[in-house]
Amino acid sequence: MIHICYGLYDRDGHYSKFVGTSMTSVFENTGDEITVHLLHDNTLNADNRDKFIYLVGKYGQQIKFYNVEVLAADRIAHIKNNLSSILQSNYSIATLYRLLIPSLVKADAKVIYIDADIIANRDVRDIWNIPLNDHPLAAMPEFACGVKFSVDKYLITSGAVVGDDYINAGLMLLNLKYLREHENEIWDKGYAFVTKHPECRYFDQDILNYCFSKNYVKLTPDFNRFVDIERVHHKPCVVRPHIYHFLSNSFNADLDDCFNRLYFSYFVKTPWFGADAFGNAFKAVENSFRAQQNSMLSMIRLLGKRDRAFFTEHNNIPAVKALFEIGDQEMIVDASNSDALMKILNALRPLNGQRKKIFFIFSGNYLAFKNFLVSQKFVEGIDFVNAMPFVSHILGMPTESHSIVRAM
Amino acid sequence: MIHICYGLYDRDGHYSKFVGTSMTSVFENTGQRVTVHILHDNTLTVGNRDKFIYLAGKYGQRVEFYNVELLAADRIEKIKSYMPEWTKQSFSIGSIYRLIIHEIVRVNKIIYLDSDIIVRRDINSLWKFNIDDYPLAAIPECLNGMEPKKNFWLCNLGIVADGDYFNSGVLVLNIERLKRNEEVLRRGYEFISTRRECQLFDQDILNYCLAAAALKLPAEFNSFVRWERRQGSAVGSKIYHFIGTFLGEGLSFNLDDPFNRLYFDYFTKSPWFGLETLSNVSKAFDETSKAQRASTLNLIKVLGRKERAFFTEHHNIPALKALFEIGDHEMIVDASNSDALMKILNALRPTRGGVDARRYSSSSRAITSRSGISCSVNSSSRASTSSMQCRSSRTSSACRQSLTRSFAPCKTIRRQPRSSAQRERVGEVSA
Repeated sequence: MIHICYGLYDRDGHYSKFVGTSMTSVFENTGDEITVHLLHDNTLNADNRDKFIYLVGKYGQQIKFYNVEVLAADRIAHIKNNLSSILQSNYSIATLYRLLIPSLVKADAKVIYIDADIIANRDVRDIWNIPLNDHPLAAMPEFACGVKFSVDKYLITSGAVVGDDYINAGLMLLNLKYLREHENEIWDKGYAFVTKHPECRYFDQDILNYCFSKNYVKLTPDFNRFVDIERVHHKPCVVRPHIYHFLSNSFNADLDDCFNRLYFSYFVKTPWFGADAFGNAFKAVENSFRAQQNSMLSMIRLLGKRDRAFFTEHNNIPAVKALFEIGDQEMIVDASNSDALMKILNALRPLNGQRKKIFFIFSGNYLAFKNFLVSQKFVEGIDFVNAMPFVSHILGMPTESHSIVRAM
Repeated sequence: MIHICYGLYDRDGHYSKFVGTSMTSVFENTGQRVTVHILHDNTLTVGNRDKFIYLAGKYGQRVEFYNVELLAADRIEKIKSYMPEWTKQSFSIGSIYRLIIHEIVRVNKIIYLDSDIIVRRDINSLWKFNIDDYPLAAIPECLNGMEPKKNFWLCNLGIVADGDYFNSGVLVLNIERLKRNEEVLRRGYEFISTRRECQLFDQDILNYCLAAAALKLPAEFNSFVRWERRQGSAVGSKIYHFIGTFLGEGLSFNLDDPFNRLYFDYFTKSPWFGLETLSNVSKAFDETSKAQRASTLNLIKVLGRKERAFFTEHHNIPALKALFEIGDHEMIVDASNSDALMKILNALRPTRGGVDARRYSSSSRAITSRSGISCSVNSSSRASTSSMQCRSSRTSSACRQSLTRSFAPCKTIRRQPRSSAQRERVGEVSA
């Protein structure tokens, strides 16, 4: 019997399918008996619960549900009070549920923890068999799979954790015996440290690194391959018998991409793939088109009253000129000039009699511009717009379709 | 044993799933043994054939295949020679396969179903009708809200009685009788082939020859979904016809509509539902999305160089002004004026002495807003509706069509004739 565990927070009822898809990939690739331990909260609705039960039953496996809001109410309340930044982050509170595994999960020796965005395209027994001895856990050090970027990891930049040791907490084999004996280490030391240091943006992962980065079994990257990195480094892309981590939502509905196809080949085997998936996707499509139509209407309105003006990096000027067919009398602000911002502000505050301008912003750092211009009381969509979406199809950028997948 | 027949022409391999979905609905709702006879041609792919076999096997039913290009090539050619040219353009050749069932399938009695039929009741309830004394049984069009005199030329000319003209999507055929009626059918072909009015070739043939003799069945055996929707009916125990599937009135992805949901509940049970469906839908979304971005970019380009000008009907001017925030100096051409078109032409050619264009800098030229024009077309029926609303509702239905399309074959749709509104618009612009 192999024990695996997931954490689930499902605000709108559309997230459970990701956990279901990951489970399906586990079931499809193993000959072993599996017990799934699902750590959820009150957001798990009856329909999704039924689907989990159906899915597990279809594969002849077992599932146990643990409502952390009932079983660990004090901890959850404490987290919400003392680590409220997680509620505003890109992570959901469920990312911390893995820390509750030692105290809640009814399994003896060990359990494999799996993130909802992981597809096991190989037998999980390969992880299960890794000897833990007296180590707290086995996991993959992020640098090993090609992560180079560490400036956002406070534990590394502050020197508390060696970069090469930094654990990715998406897939772990947990030594329950060890962790139960050292539970205070997680909560009194790791959790306490992270709550005191808001620079720690990786919450649970930082906690585990703080506690165990010097004392864990390092897995090879084949147990936790980051799909966004695989896409860049392996062309043409080939799917291999690895465990793939689709982090930062690195999958969308473009099924010509082999990793998206891998993901959806498991999704279509889940009970979440049905008429409703299409109905929900269609609604998201309609919303997306409506937004595009609104942006078109607003362009027709604005350009009837305002002159165009452009902002872009020096080397992009010729391309932008061609794309928008910019005339010689029109304004282009060169981002490389030191007085670029001042020029924009002046142009946006025209003298009497001059027509107002609308700025098309071409910048890798649009968000910074937006914040600046908004702080100067200018309005996005009227005084300035992000020009990138208007040309993304020409630049060969993929159509944003993750929102559609999310809605399914 | 109940015998059911479909006709299948599948140019790009994406059409078989509709027949498969219809079959699934039959299998799901009957306790009887069913044999499905598929009259197809060389367009049936191995993959689709396998799926039909798998589907029938899954439900413990039978399927038999008849390649009409092998079995009745000369008959098909003969019938085609009777088809008026214009009917060939908009209709699939598969629609005439129903006319040779009695020549190919060796049974006494058979139910013919169109591929856009969903049977949500035991098919045995249709099979049970005794048609020994009739060549066929069918459902009159007038039971589905159609007005025969207005909608069907055979009724308009008094050749077929209003109450007799039936829809050819659901038929119960008496094979023996039909064989004996061969001479009647031949005269029908000869008559129809000379008539310019003919639109629905197979349906007109059958009605011309057999409408009076047919056993008429109640609407519940061939109930038009668009008619049910208009009446606000709930889904019942009926045979539903998703007529106009490809023109927006039939099937769409809006699953808040109970009839679309009904359809997809069966489709998702068919072997055509899978990864590729998702892939095709995603491609359609991608295409439409790119097209929209391209047209927005184009607007930004054009409006950087040209002035806006609008064309609409008189009563729409205030709505249009508000919607597009049109300033007093901007040009609005009133469609009710007799010289409206001349004004547009002048404005579009400012160097030839356009009136309003002179006001602008010499480099500027007017762009007649397409949105304004499309509004003018719709305006007669929706007087004060704002034009962008018309526009977005139409675009949205176009997008819905495009999705249904890629889920369905893309090119089939593009072959469809333009709606009259579209034609009108193009006509106005080019006039």
